[in-house]
Amino acid sequence: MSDSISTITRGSHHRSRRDGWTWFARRYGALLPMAPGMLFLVLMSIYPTVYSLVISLFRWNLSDPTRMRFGGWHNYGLLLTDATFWNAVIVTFKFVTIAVSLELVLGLAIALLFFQRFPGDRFLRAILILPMVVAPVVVGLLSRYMLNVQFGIVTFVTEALGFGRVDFFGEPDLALGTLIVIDIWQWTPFMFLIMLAALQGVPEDIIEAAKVDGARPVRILFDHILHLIRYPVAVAVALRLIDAFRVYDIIFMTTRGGPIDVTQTLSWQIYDAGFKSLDIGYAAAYSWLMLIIVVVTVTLVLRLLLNEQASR
Amino acid sequence: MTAHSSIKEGTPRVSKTKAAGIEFSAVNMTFADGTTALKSLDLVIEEGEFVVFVGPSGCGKSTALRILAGLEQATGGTIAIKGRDVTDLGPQHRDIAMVFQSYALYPHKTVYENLAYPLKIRGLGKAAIETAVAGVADLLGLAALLQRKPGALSGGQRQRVAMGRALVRNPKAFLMDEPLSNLDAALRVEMRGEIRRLHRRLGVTTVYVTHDQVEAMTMGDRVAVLRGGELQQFDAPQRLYEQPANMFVASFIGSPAINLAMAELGAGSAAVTLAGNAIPLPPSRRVEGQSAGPVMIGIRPEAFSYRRDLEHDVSLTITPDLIESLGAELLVHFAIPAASVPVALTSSAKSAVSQISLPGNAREVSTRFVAKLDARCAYAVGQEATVWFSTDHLMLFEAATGRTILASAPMLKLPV
Ligand SMILES: Nc1ncnc2c1ncn2[C@@H]1O[C@H](COP(=O)(O)OP(=O)(O)OP(=O)(O)O)[C@@H](O)[C@H]1O
Ligand SMILES: [Mg+2]
Repeated sequence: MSDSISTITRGSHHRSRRDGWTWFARRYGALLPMAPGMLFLVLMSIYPTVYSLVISLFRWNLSDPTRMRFGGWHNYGLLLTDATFWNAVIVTFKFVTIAVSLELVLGLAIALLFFQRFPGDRFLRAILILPMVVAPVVVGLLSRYMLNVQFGIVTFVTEALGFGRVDFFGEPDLALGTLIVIDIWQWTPFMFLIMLAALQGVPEDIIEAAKVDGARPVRILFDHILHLIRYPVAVAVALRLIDAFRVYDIIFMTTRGGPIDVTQTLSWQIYDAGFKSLDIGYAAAYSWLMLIIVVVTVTLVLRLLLNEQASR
Repeated sequence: MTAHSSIKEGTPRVSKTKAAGIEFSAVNMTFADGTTALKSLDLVIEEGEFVVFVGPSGCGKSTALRILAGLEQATGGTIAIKGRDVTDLGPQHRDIAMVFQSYALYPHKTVYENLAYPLKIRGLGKAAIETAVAGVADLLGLAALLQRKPGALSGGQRQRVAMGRALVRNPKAFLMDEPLSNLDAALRVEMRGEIRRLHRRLGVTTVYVTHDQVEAMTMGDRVAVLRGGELQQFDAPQRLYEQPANMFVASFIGSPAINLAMAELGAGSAAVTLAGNAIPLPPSRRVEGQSAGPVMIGIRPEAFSYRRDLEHDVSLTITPDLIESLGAELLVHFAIPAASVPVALTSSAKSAVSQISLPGNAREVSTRFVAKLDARCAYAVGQEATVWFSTDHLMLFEAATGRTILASAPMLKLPV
């Protein structure tokens, strides 16, 4: 009898300790497998973000790294009154809006063409997406050589056609346009691929119903297809917008911001401030302003693409 | 009237048959992958008729309808609608309305916009569209749902919107591909009646596709039975039931299905022997084209009676092994010692027909029959009983092809 009692006591004592552990494991056990990911996130993303926000509030030039003074909104104030900043905003917006909207229209047009299926379309499609897989630096380098005023193949062609030598990167009126054309050449395939996939996801019976209802192809495109593909289109546009805002590689390989300041984009200026002038606090503030610009722009564009069409 | 309207539309060719609402002439369809979905389909549907295409899955019903709509280009033959050759016209130019099995509502448009769409395309004014949509919405009970998107509708409501989109304009023909198959049984029966009433009211030629023979029987003015891309029979429901062209039609139409077994036709077709019982055939029941030898016999479950009378004078002694009550009637199942018919002649696929092995060898010599009897018979499972039928209700089919060589005499009552 007493033996059994002692067993119970021992057992309950044992159980309560075990319960504590189980409770803990149940409550926080799930964190364990998540820990590496969280650690990575904190180290690689959250810490640098917070750190850049902090240093954007400091006056800190790396030419004298020990002198780091708190400046509050000083850097932001400087920027917002700086004409070169506003020039960079305008240049970047020109680049982004023209390049992305042309890529969108061209990508959709080509996707509609390929959606019809024709002999040899698979082969042609493979060729068409090649520009996308080339590294942007290489694209920049190639275009630098091809468009070179002295010996570029394009110069050879323009001369042969009687236009004379055209300095695509050196001419203030042409430089930004040339960069836009290069971006379109490289990234239209991306739009095309996503549009083609989106078109293939459009339910066939809806198109057929529209045909039976009497709609011609152009009406079907505007009345139905564009609405039905708007989510993938919005994603593609958002990705391209973000990417185009960051444009750096081809500028670095070709115009380097010039001539004068016509190709000085935001990311180019940030690079200039941070790594040439070593004005790291200023560059951090610049990055934060750019981030705000990108987020606001992308949000507005997405709202436009999704809401405007949904309400129609 | 027809001639006048075709002149107005400037038809390139005018078909010979003027009364025809829709005409299939030798229509063939072979898909790119080699699948033959239709073989030389000839069909003339009269103006204002309600025609049902029925057949087992994969028999080519939808393909025929899609070719008629212009959504599929036939590989041969011609299609005419109201005497006008439309073979080479796209669906936009055929002036037909279609209800899809999936309904194919425009998910990004409200119910109102869905209903208005065909009219908007035709360039109608806003006021005219509003009137027409309101009319259709009233007719189908959609008035309260006009501002909803299809995603927020029940299956039955979606079905009504799909119907409404077809009804809102005045097309030359309505095409419907299994429009009720996604609805529950009660709603299906209700909509069946509603579609028939709408048809009577509007009088527009309608082609209705279904795989459900009950739907076909109850709805069609005439029913086209298809099998493996070939038209088996095109007739009024009652005639399909009483005078099927072959054993496939006989077994496809009617529920429960017709009882079929192998039998032996006596010399001079004076009698047919089923499971050892010789059933004399009166001279009025002439067997067509065959005088003796193995045949297939068919008796509808409804042809049996539990008592003898003038119309039921041949007896069969049975032992029920399963009895299902339908309330007023019983389904009495029993086995008879006769060989069953080759599956190839009743199955949906047409391919196996050439290689039927005739029975008598290893085939199990027992076939399941079912009789639909008045519940007053009070038969019990395992107790020997007698059922009666008439030679008038016997059907005989040629053993090799399944072709009907003796149809039942008319005037059977329809199955419910
Ligand atoms: N696009 C296509 N390509 C190749 N074969 C097809 C195509 N569409 C249909 N078929 C084939 O044609 C035949 C007829 O198809 P159809 O859709 O007309 O059948 P159905 O009678 O409507 O059947 P269900 O009752 O199942 O809808 C089938 O064998 C089908 O596999
Ligand atoms: Mg079908």
